[in-house]
Amino acid sequence: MQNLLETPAGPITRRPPEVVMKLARLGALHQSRLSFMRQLLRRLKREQWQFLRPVWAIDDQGVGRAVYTARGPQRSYSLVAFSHDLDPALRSDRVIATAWDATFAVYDGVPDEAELDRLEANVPKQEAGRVSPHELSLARANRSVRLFEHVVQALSQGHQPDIERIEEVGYLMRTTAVYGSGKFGAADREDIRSRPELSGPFQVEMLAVFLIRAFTLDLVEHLARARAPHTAVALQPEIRRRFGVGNSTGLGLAPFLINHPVLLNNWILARETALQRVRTVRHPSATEQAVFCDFVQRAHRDAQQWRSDHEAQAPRIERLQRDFVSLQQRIDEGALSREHPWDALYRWAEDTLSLEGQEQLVSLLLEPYGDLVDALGDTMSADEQDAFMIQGAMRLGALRQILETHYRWVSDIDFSDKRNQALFWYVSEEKLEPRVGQRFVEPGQELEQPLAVARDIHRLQQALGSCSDEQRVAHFLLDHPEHRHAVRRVQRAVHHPYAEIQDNLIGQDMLPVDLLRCKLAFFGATRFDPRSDRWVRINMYKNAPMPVELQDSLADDWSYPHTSDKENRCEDVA
Amino acid sequence: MKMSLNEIGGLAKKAARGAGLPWGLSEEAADATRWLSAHGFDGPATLASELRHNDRVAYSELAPRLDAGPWRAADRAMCPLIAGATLADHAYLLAEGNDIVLGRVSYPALLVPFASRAAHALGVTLQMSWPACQLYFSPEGGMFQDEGANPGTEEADGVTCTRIEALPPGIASCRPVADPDVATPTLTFLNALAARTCVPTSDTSRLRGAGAGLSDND
Repeated sequence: MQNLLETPAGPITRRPPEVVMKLARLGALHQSRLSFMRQLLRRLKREQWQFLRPVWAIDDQGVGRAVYTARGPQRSYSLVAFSHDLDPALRSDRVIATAWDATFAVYDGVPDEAELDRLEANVPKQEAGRVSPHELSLARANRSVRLFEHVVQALSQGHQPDIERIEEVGYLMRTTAVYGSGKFGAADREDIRSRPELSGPFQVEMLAVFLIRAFTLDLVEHLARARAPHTAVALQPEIRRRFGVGNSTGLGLAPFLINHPVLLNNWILARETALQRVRTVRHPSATEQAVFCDFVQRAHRDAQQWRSDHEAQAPRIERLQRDFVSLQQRIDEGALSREHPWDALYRWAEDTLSLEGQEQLVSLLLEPYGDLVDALGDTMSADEQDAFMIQGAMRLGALRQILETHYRWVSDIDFSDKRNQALFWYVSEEKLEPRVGQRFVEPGQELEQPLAVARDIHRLQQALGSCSDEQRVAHFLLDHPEHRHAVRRVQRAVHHPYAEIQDNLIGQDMLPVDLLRCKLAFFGATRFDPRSDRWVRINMYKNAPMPVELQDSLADDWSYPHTSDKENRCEDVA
Repeated sequence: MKMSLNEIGGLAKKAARGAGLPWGLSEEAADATRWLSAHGFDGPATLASELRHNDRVAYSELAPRLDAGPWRAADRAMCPLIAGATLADHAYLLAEGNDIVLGRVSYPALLVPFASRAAHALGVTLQMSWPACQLYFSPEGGMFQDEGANPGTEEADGVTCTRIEALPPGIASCRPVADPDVATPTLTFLNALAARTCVPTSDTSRLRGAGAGLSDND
């Protein structure tokens, strides 16, 4: 692993954690070459995966089941889809929902009838059912009320749906949860991660969504045909690709980054390593420059189509659009005609652009450099067990050193100010839905989840107060078991510099959407549309090739639409 | 009910917290329970027995005192999760060639994962024994046991942990086992403890806590 993260020697270093690990910056991340969706599609194409649909048993009301199989060089995986007739009054994206428009499982192999029947008895119940280690993922999705009917109607009448309306929403269905890793009886990650195709992060979940996308498109075409068999048409391929899969994410996902610090560290470290390598490039080739410029234009155009009504996000998008104008101007003025142009451009951006703009630029800088960047994808998994064990032999003097080096940011927070402890994270009795409450207003803070990292580190520092430097951590923890959780985090920081979000997660102004966006950007999501400070809608795979198109398309050139609306073609692009 | 290791760990953590252990020790409980299940033991049942036995008992009554002689709690048998975590924290003593001796500890099977982690972290071979039970741990963290060794007792008095040079020849290894099955009474009890970590719902909580109102229809 150490070799894979090698960087060139010299004055250009990785950005330090105190710059990168601020919640506001993490909340401004964009998808990149390292995103998990893109890692997946590169692999599916490289290994020439085949895609079949062995079962399509959906009636004219859109109710029934379907199976989509992805066949790889060694193994097959099947998305099993159940399509339901959902009472609109029950449609909800909340964890507390009990029924959905469609429910899914990813089956390890190709299921027979008996397996399909077993799944049919359980999958539609989601958390209330059980799946087995033959299932790798469990998911569900709801229709876009705005767009689904419009598309069915248009197709049934023989014409393509309205592009404006498609772009406004971007998807036909929206997943509201995609579970993996042993949830509800599904296979543990340990059982599958030695398989090369699943060793990367969230590959099962990304594959599930990729196939769900195909299902949603097949479903609208099917319903259009059912409605008007003589006039219905299929979607044109170029229009078909405009649909992604939406996703509605709330607080359920927010604690993830805090509870998986080694994983977070590895994701950020990979990205920062990639950025450093690119910044070190002295003389980009003409091709590399051209690829970069092309992506700048395409991303700019995409940003112009990015919509959010959210009061905080809308101005950020506007600012990003202005940042693009500045960036384009900078390029036009000759920013690339010098040594180390990427480094210069980045440093200019740091002084000039918004956080959205800076992180957008970081992602764009990686685009021409698959050869420098893509292999870093192999470093983005983690075994949290690696850094779990407390080092009891460590003396408190050394612990204090770590705090001084890695947690200085905690001292900047005044916890005597109530605003800095205003929130608390908890799990509701109601279907175990994670929530955030107002500490001094609502009941429940004694049941607070251990997510108040800064405050807990602060308490640890207070407890260490008068203890001797020579005392061992083991002895300290025996007397102070309440600080074990915090000590574990502190000791972990030594070898995982990007493990900790360096912000107060219980402060009044903390925005959970920043946590959500960070993780979702690593997934490869785009079109972030916060619905509140703790709920966000995104799009996945928008403009990507369909599974059956992978062989004849560029697998990794879809994140931003082409400026001339050209079809994807097989070219030798970096 | 068949449960994944991930589910077992998640439930164990919440149940331990519900029974009164601080979060850091609840994490250890999760890791230990998972380990037991992954190695063919009934982790959840063992944890349930221990938590039932020591439900909401104060830490000070369950934690070892490290004065002279074997580690002991004041009056009760030590909690194996607390003793195990303390053992792992003090594993450097074993590396230095000292023995660690524990007095009375309940459900000593829960000590086993800590010994395994310690052996692996130090890269040494460890022996852990109590009356009628000898267990060995390789530097890879693998567990080996004497024929007829039964770690599943309710209490042990006198647990000795020693660094040894090598595993005894011909010793049987404990192979990891998949697909843990958890009995309903165990599940019910652990879920009841875990439920204590949840905040009862209210209208305010439902409307404001998750941030999407009641509908996210688009």
